[in-house]
Amino acid sequence: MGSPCTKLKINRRRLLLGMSALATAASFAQSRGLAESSGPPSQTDPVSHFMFVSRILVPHELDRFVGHRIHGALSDIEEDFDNKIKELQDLIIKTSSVDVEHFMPTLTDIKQKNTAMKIISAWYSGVINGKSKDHIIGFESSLMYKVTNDVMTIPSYAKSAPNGWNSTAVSLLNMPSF
Amino acid sequence: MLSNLSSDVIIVGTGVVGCLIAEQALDAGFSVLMLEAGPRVSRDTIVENYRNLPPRLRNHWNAPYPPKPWAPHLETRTESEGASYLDLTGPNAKAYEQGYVRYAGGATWHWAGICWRMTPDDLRLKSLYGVGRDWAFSYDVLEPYYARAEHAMGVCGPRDPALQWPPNTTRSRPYPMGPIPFGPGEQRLTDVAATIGMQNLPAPQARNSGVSFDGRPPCCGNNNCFPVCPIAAKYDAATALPRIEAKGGKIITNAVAYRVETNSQKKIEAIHYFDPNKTSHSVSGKIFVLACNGIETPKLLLLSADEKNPHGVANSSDQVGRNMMDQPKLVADVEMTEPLWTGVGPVQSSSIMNTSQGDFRRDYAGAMFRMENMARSTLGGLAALEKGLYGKALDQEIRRLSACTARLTVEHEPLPLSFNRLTLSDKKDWLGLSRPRIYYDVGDYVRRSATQYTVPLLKKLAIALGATDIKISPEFLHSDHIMGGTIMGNDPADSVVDADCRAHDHDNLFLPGGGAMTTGGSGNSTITMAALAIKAADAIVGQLNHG
Repeated sequence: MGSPCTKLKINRRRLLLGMSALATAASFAQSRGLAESSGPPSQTDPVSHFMFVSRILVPHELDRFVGHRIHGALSDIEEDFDNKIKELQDLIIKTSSVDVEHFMPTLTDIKQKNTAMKIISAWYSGVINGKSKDHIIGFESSLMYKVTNDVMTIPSYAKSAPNGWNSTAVSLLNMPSF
Repeated sequence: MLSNLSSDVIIVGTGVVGCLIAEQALDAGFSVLMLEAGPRVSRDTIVENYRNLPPRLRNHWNAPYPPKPWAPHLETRTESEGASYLDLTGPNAKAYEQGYVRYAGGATWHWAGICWRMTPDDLRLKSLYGVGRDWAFSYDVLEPYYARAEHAMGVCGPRDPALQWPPNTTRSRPYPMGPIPFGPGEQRLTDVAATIGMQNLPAPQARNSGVSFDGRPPCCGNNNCFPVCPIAAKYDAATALPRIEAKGGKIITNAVAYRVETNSQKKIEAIHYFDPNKTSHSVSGKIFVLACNGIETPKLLLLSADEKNPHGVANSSDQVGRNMMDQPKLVADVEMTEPLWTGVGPVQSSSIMNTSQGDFRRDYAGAMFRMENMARSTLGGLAALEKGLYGKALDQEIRRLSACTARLTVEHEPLPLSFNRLTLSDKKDWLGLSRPRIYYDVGDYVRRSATQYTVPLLKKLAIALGATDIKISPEFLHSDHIMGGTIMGNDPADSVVDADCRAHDHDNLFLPGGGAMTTGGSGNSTITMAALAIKAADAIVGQLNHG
């Protein structure tokens, strides 16, 4: 479990997510929308399982369309990927993990940890490096750009109006919410 | 059938130099035909090529421009790609890995847009300091052409003469637009540099500032000037080419010029080119302009050697391909404790120029210092992921690495040195044409500058910025300003072109652009190339008018 301090800082969405993770899959299967956002989904929908795991690994709003692309690319590259996702999902439930800071230290199997890091990397960088080629997931959806989007534009996208910027430096601590 | 087309003016190359001359000749009522070795590609295709690159390749300027087999250019994604076209040799071969694309529009697609004029002293190195060469004319002669080039390309810049370059000199016309505002990184650099006697100036740049100009929109801070401005706020020839066609100019793409044919009166008779099927064609005209950059132009002249021109066309002086110049560059990657926040506004928008002038140039090179102003979120993101971070720690590290790191660069003025030479390689390209082989040694003038002057100053600047870690490149790199290979001078015995960029050997052949530059200075070369192009265009129109 996270420290009391961590518990105090988690927002409502992630608190609900964590509570949901404690429940059984069957209780959430009634509603697809609820299953996607709040807890382990139906076993027949691998992308929903992937999104459930992703929402624990990446503490931000995640686009299901992008998730679909990441899942597809990793499924092509990683042998038995959906079973690896299932293992991660089971571990999340078993460890009652509510966030990635809590969950990652519980991963003692290096293969499971590597899979988790590949998922995190794909969401942030927008690319999955395969053996023979790179799988491009997205550009402007890459989360690494959102970390600085209060100051820097996503390269090639307009920042503001013509000459609409100035020399004001903002604090590193003002992390954007995304 | 394209063979045997004819026009008043034949121009090889569709970059800024070719386009400026084409438009001026058309406006004067002459017919123009342009040959371009590469394809014509739309802006949205290049932008999409860029966005679909894996992030580790997005800082490779050439990656969105895959070359056609018949028109290769330097590619840098892998070492084998890097060695596949330019055949580089010499102690500083890496400093001549020149970036240009063989596409319609040429290097204007990916240039930074920076337009530093050369100074009066830059044109008189031999007289003032006993090094290099003097130009064939003084700054006063060049100044009106600079002003015309600034208006033709839409250069914005400061109104205060003290902030202009060269400072406090008479200008025949003001910049057509005011300066582009600084982001936080460039403002901080300006403030810090001033404390150690370095003046960071707002760069004159061919980027629309606050208003539309010449049918192009104002800059909106997309921070992607290279590899491509997605909205055409920066001047590039892609917007000039349709205008040239609307005025009646003809452009043939995928046409690789391989031979300049002369007649018994030493006049140029025709240009021969291959199409992608390796079929040969020729075009004839009254005036011929080779404007296919400082590497391809001397290469084409040397490829054209025959019985009448045993050392190549325009090469009675044996200077074609010699004196190859660029500003040898060193970079310092620095890390600071406080955020600098580069990446707001254009990717380059200022430089320190006062370090380029002074009596020390008797002994070693002057130099321009600047800071890359590109958004470092891609670099920060990839570096933080490499560390295996996740969650809040990952976000914090991406933000820190994006904000608290920077790249400082110093670009040294080169001297024209005859041993820095382009010749024809025994290695052939897809068409069977010799690839350019270039020997490059930055020379003791630059090496002394780095040791005694620029590297200590670079470190001083980095420390003043609060750097806690400074990594300086271990060898000289290229600045992509190709100069010198068809050098200008008054004496036909030791130069290739005259003061109008007309070949000494052939009075209907013009070789304008970077190749004609007698010395390089410390700043970016394009505005000088453009000024020389306009001066050459005046001479071409005058020559056609007077038969």
